[in-house]
Amino acid sequence: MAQDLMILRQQDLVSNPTTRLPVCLCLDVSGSMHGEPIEELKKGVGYFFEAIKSDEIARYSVELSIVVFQSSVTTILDFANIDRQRIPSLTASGLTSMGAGVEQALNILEKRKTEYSSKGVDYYQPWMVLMTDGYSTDDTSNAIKMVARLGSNKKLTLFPVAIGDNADISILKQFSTMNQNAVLKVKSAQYFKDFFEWLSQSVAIVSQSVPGEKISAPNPREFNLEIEL
Amino acid sequence: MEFEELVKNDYKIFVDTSSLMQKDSEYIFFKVIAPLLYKYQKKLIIPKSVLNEISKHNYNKHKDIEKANHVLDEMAKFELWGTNSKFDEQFADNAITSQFHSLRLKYNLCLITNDNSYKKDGNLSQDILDLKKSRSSEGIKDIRVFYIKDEKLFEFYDKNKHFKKGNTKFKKNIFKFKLPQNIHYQNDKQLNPNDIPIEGSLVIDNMGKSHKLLKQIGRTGGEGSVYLTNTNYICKIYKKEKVTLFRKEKIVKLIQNNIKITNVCLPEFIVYNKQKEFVGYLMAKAEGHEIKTSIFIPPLFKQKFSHWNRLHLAKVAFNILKKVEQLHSHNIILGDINPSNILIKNENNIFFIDTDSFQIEEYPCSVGMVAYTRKERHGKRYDEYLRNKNDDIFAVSVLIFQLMLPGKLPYSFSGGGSEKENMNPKNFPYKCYDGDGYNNAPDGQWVYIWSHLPKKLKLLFCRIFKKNEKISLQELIKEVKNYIYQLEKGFQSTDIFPLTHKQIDDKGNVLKDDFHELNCVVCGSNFAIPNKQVEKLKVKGWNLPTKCDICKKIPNPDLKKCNQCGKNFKDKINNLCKNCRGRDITCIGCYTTFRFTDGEKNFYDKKGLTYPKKCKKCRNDKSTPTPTYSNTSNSILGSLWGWLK
Repeated sequence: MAQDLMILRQQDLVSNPTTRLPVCLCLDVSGSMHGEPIEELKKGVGYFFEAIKSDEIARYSVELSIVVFQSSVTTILDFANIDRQRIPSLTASGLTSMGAGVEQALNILEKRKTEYSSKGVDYYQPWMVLMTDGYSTDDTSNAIKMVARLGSNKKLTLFPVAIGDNADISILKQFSTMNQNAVLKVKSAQYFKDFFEWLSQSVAIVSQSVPGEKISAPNPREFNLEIEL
Repeated sequence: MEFEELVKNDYKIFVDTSSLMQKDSEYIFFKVIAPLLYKYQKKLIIPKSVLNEISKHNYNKHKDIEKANHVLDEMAKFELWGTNSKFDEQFADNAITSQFHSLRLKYNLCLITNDNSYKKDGNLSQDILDLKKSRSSEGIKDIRVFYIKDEKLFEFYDKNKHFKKGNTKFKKNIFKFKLPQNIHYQNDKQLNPNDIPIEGSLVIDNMGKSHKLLKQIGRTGGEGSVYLTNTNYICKIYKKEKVTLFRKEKIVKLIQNNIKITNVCLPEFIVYNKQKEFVGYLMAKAEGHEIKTSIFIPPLFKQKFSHWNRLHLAKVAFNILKKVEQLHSHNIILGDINPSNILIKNENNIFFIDTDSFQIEEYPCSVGMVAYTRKERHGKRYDEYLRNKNDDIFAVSVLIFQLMLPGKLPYSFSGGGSEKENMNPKNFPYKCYDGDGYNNAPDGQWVYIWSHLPKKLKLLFCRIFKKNEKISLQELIKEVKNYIYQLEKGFQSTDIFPLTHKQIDDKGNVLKDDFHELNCVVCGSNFAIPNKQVEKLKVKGWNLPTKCDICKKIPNPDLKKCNQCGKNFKDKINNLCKNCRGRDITCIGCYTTFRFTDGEKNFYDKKGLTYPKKCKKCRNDKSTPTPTYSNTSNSILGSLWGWLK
């Protein structure tokens, strides 16, 4: 299986010359997300995938992966052609290993970039969306350092997203590569869809822009999101 | 022709001051012209310059001015005349001639004037009729001139008809914009219109005609929205903050010179909102698929142009180049040439859209894309410099390259990075007949496609991309035309994605289908090797390859990377490959340490040789004497000696 997937990944890269935008969703699925939040998150992610698929350019340009963290970290969806991806189910339990989660996400993004490069496919610098509803239970200092280094070289765009009021805004701020280290806040689980709508529109804009050019993403406030500065 | 016919057939009827001030003007306008206008729901056009002239006469109390005032006042009550606001600001003098000059391609025109005397220097009637004869633009519509005499309307006929024939005065004369050196620098003033029309709104064009915005097309872009109108035009309405003096002036410049190029959707009319404020423009409708979302993405290409072959692509390339050539002949610089600005209906019908970004004289094209911008321009803002024809030629060359290698940018290479980083002549990865081979060419069929292109076209690409030279549009057009010829005659393969390199026989002809198709054992896809190579392999008694190019490169999971040399090797225990593993031995000749690797050991074992005692250098240098050892004289070397045996 692993070998088959490898072949497909290579073929996608070789036959489609479109400039790629790798996006990794790094999601908190710890115990506190149990119940409504995890269900809404699932719906939101599903909506996001559909939105990308329905955009003619984004569909062939945006590539998605999902890393989830709880007591341990798992890459539940690795990069591939979106038509072949099935969204795995999410279950909430355990602790919040945010630091390890981000490191894992950075790893798979870096790996994908190397693949683009070796096949001679152009790419946009990757995006990461880090969503959490609580406080990290592991050491995040290394992950923050890695993100800061990439962010300052414009090699990564990281959107930290706080779910509800109990998320650790101060840590999320340190991860942010947005202006003024802004953190987006989804007020409650029922607004996940709005967030993912904002994300899919932003992604679609980038996939049609010029790599390296400054882009104007839609205003998050129009999507029921709060911005914590 | 009867005057009524003109009114009925929607001739644009202009009136000048002299006819309004004629002694019979009231009779003619009220009894003859007004009823016809009313009957056919038409209007006269009184240019602003005429109104200005009348107000001047009023000021000077000219004796016949009351007639003109009377005519205009009465007819205004029934809305039987309007001004043509089109060139309000541009033409104070000479308004009628200039307006006729630019409108003659679009409309049948008529002028009522009594300025037809040959005694005077200027003769407006004759000047207007002469406009019909200029050979510069084919497709001039009809132009008629009438004058008022003795309570009747007479047509003025061309007095110069006969002796003007064959006169070289009317040379083929393509309108050319200026090509200034310096950019238009001025703080761009926002015009802040009170109202931005939306779906369902009415807008008014500069001819006074109203259009209804029926339906928005596509998403709202960065500058504004595009609508289909009930008059079958496309209307672009700018966002409020994008309605600026710069945009207005640039569009007016484009419109007033009345340049028509088939399928290039240039602005044709300015549109105003209800408050008569500039908000956008009208252009002809375009049809087809964007190149970006049809040809450049393989699955969409198959879906939208399933039956296409290389001939279609070459024709699209040719038609794009011809349009750029036409625009350049007017000194219009396109600026932002990219695959989203060109629509393809079929290979012979391609449309250029987003033309309001074109660079006109000192008004720059303020947008662009890195991949279509010459390297020396990188780092500059697009609205801060004026581009030239070479910038366009580079951009269109990239686009033609991408048509030939569908979607692939010329500078994408294996080991590259972002589009911008890649754009360096030294990174052009394809073979250029200059001694360099393929230099990190991207994986996949791209090198096969490249090898199938005609040599002269490839050399042209090499000149512009690898040598960073300037090439002319005509050279490019010539080579693409030759390619079309070769494809039509069957001299080149018409496959868009050929499976092998180009095969040529002894006489230099291209061999088609001269390959052996195989199925990859790993992924099952089709691949091929040339028959020539099949024969070679058979002669040597070797097997045919079983894996396609892509699968060949996928690392075998049993293999691992040697920590030292980085090569892949098969071993479960060691982290070093057999060429890096081994023992260090001190040379008995020079006492330096050399490595005797496991790989070498295997070789020696296989050949039944004794293991070396000297380093490679000493072994090659026969003059070094071999010292004799005794077990006692050198215990360390001695023990080593023993071990080696």
